[in-house]
Amino acid sequence: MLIKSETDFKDFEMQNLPDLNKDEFLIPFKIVYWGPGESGKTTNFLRLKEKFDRIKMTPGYSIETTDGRTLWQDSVFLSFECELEDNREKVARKYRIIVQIVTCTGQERFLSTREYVIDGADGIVFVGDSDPEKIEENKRSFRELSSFTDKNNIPITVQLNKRDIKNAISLKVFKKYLSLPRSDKNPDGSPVVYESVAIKGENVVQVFEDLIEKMLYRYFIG
Amino acid sequence: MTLLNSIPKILYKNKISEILSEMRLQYGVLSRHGYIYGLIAVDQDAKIIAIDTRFDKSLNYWDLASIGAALYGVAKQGQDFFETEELERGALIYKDMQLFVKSITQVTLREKGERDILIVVLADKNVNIGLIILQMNKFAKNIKSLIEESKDIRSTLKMNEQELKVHIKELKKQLFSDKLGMIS
Repeated sequence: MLIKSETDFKDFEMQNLPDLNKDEFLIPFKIVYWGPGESGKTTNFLRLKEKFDRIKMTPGYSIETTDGRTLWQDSVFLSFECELEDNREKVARKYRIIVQIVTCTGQERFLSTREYVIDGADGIVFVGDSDPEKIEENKRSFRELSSFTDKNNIPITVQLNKRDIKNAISLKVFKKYLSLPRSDKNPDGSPVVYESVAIKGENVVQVFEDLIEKMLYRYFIG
Repeated sequence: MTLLNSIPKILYKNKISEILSEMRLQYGVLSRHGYIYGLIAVDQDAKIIAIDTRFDKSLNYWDLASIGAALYGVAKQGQDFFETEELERGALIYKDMQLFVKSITQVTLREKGERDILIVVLADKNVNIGLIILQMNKFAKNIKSLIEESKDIRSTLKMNEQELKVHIKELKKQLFSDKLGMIS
C-alpha cells in the first residue's frame, strides 16, 4: 500500500496527458450515474464529456430512445494522470486513471437492465431530482441502488439536481426521505449531498472529482 | 397452447400477434427443427406492439423487448462508428440460444417522425434463422399496414415515458382484475 491516509490526496490533480507511459501505474475505474428517470444522469454525462473533451479515450456512445431517454446506457472512457505521494518513503508516483463513465436508464420498464450496467462499478453518483413530485421515485431508486451496493461498500456520492426549479424540495426533506445523515458534511469533509444544476454544469465536475477521491481512498486504503 | 395469463391481452390478442404466430407456424412447417421461445414486435424504443400467442411463459416479454431494442441501438451506433452500409440485423449467439433483431419496416408517426419497427426472436441454437428472416420479409408489408391502420398502436408508439408508465400501469391493473375474475 502506498497511501496511508486521506490527507495524501491533497496533491491529487487531474492533468491532460494523452499518451500512455509504461512507467505509470494503471488504475481502471467504472463510475455509474444512477437515479430516477429524467433526474439528469445523461445531462451530467454530457457535461463531463464536454468538460473533459480533450482527454476522452473514446468518442462515447448513447443507446437512447427517439425521445432522448436512455434505453440501455451512455458510456465514455476518460484518461487522467495523477501523482500520489507515499507518506513513508516521500516518493511521488504517477498513476494513470482510466475512468469509464456510464449512465444507466432511469425508466422503470427497463429496470432489469440496470443490474447489468451497475455490475463492476467502483463508484456511483446518485442523481436525485428536486421536483417534489419525484420524491417517492428518488426514494425507490435510492433503495434499489442500496440493494446492489450495500454488500460491497461501493462509494456513493449523492447529488441533488435541478436546484433551479421554482418549487424545489428542501435539502432537509430530501435527506430525510433517503435516510441520509442530517449533517452537512461527511466525516471526510465532503458534502453529504451536492446541490447541482447539471444543465448549466453547476457542481457536475465537483461531484465527479469527489467520487474519484473516494474511489482512490478505497482503492489504496480499503 | 401456452397459457398467457401473465401477459396483458392487448399484447397477444391483435392482428399482429396473429401474424407473428403465423410466422412461427410457417417456420415450423418449413423446417421442423428447433424451438422458438418467442417472437415479439417492438419499436426501436422498446415499446411492445405484439407478442406471438405461443410466447414461452418462462420468458419476460419486457426483458426481451428491451434487450432487443438495446441490441438494435448498439448495432445502429456501430453503423455510425464504422461508417458501414445499412444494418441488416443484430444477433447474439449463445451456446444454447440465439437472439435476433431485425428492422422489418418503418412507420411515420405524426409529430414524432419515422420509427423503426423491429421483430425480436429468441430461439434455441437449432433454429434456422434464415427461414425466419424469410418469414419476416414476407409479412413486413402486412405488419406495416396494420400499424398504420391501428389508432391504438400508433398512439402507444407516440407516448412519452410518463404516458407510457401510466399505460403500463393500466395494463397491469387489467391483468390483475382478469385474474380476480377467474378466481371468483
